Amino acid sequence: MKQLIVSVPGAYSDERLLTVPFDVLGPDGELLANGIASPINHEAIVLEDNVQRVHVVARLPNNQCVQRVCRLDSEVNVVQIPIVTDSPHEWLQWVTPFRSLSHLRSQQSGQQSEPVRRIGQVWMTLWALRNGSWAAEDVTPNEQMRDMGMRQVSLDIPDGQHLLQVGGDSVAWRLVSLPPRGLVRVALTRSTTNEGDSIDVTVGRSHPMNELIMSYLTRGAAMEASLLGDNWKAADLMLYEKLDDPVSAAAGAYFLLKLKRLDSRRHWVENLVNWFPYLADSAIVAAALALQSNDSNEEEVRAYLKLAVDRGLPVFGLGASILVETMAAVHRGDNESEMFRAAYRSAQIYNQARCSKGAYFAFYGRSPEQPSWGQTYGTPDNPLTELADSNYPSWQHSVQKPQSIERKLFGVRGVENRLIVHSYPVIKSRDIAENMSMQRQTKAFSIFDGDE
Amino acid sequence: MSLVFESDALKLNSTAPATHVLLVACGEYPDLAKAGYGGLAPLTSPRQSVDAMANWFLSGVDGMFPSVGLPAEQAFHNPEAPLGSIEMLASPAHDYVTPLGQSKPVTRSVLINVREAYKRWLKRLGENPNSRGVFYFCGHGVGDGVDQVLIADDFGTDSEAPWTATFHVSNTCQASIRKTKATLLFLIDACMEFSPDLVFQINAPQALVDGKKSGEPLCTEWQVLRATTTNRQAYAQPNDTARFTAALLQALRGYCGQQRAGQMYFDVTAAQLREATSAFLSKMQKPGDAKWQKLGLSQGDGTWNVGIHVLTKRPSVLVELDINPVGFRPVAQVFMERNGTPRDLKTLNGGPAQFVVPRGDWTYGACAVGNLFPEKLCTDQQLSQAVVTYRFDIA
Repeated sequence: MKQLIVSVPGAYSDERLLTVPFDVLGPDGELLANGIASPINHEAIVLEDNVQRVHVVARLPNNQCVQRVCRLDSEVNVVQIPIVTDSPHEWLQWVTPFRSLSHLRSQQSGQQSEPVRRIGQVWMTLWALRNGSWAAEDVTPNEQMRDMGMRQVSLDIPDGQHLLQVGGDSVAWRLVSLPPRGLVRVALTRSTTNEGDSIDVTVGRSHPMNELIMSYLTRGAAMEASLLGDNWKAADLMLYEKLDDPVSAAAGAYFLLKLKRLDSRRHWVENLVNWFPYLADSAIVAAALALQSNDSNEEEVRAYLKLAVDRGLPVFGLGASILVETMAAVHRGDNESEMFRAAYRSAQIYNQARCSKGAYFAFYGRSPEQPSWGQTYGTPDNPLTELADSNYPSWQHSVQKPQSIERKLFGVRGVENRLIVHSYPVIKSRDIAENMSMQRQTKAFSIFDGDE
Repeated sequence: MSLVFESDALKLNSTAPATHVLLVACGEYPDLAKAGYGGLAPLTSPRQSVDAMANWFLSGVDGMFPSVGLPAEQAFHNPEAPLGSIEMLASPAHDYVTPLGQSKPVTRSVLINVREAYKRWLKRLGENPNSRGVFYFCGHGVGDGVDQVLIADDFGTDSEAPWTATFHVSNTCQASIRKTKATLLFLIDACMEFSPDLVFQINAPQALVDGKKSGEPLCTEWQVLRATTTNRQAYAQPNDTARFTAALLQALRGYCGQQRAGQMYFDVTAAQLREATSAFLSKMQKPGDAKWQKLGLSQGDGTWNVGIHVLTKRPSVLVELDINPVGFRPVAQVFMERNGTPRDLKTLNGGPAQFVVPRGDWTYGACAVGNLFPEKLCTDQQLSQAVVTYRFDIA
């Protein structure tokens, strides 16, 4: 028998982001084996003696494949999955499972033949939820790294809910949920395309644990999520609550919920809800779990839902959709209370404004309380709103356009694209929106000055 | 009842594991104007699309029996859950002609008919966890920002309450997964664009079946594959198969599958199908197209590794090769080769060249007539995805 040792080069500290499920394939694409590898975990695969040459193919969270061919010339053979080779800097390696950075590398080395896209001005504002109200805070990075077309800031995020707003001349304003209790890295890198946003925003903890599973799960790659979960001992995922890491515990809870393996661990979910009172995700999971129970009590589900909306926005994007689905399930229709209706509508609007398939909840908007499905650009004091007619054409637009394309569109008439000033759990006034605008302008932190 | 197919095996044993299909197409919408949506033209693509779906299911070994059906890379095949039934509702409701040339009556896709057909479909699926249920819809749809509501053909017939001729996708799924143990796949080719008219309805659209949205689901593997993302539209050329359905069918025709350990069977799972459909959908469009369409976010539970369709040979890969700058195209050729097979050369005069090859280890490259530029090569590439595109940069 021959042995194939599969590993992933990269920093040990990023082990939990650089862990990848892989297949070992023969020359005709036949599946010979599969496994999980990381910078720390070198997986040993045993193959028949007659296998001469294999491909190791890894599927990244961004759905890209990375492969490496290996000739099995000896009894023990070693192959590395080159995830991080795209990265122009060591400090950006952690981004490579989520998006390719090869274009930055070729721009850096001057190998790119096409003109480099202008980024324009880009700014960020940090928001924190304090006593039920969102307030902008000073951005005080622990560390900043920079090169042409790329920036990285590290922010120390304490307990509680935080959103990072990023916007710019050519960057639609969006807000990203930041995981609490530790250092969070935010990478802003020049986009690969000439369309859409001029930069990509990637968020990750400096000491990640289970959130990689969420990246696969949110994208719909349930198989890969399941492989990772099994490798990381799904039964233990929830134990991170005891390690004082509620974000990892919540990720584990979502994973087990989606794979219908959470029912026997109800008390863990209860602990998660009780021990981390600022975390909406745990209450969302608890509500969804209660709903799935045969002896489900609607009052229990509604109590968890109330808790979730009172706590604010979820850390994970999956939480936003599960919240809406669960609220819809217990909605009492015409007999529903005004408070629940308002909270439900708000949850829908936030979910509607979602802007990313990444693990962390991200939505377009002008402020934490102004999610929007239209897109806003510009400097913090001069928002320019695109009416989004190309992306969200109205019924009137459809009849003015050539009829060569059929759209299974249905009646959007007189739509107000910017559904402003909704939040959990009540609808806020326009005055508050203006106050938020002032705060955004005052606390904005320039990240690209417009000269790149 | 417009059952266009029922297998003999099912007639003998109605609880045997099988694949049961419910196909719904809504195109005519004769009463849109009564409901105040008179500017919308009828859709011609749903009927084309539903016929294409039915043809794919019925052209296989089960649908053509006792004649010889098409191979698994061209039509439905699933030895663990053979084709059990297909029920079709459509508008226009003219007869459907099967691949065997038989004319089958089709019921018009008004809501009451869709509801009744859906109940029959769930009943056929029953409690056999090894059965598969495929629900397909093509027609108008709207979103409320999160959920999707599909519009039946009688929308507007009751002009006082047009929205009663609609149904709620997520609630339908939630009720269904508590009524059957079978694996369920919902394929929805409809818009999800936000509609304030929908949001402000007092009576919200209902599920196709009554039932609880709470309690332990019986079904542990289900997925909704949507043609488009939240707040976006789905597109089709008139009198042609809708874009999503075309991508889906291409993916099903031999371009995806997960090999069973040690066997020459390749399970086309919901996860595999999603990925390949997404690739073909993307391939059908040009970057920057204002009518860009991409699959909606995944919805469902489980690991999605149950085979909906099973291939008996290695899946194919569509490889598209080109060069940059395109000014070199008239003098360039691209090629594919692998150990033991001759180099397959193609010119680029008509634009990027396409190759369809079986999955595996391939080398591809570009060369020039008269060696105007040095040969470019990508060697030893394991092709394992449905679509691979590559552009050789000629420095």
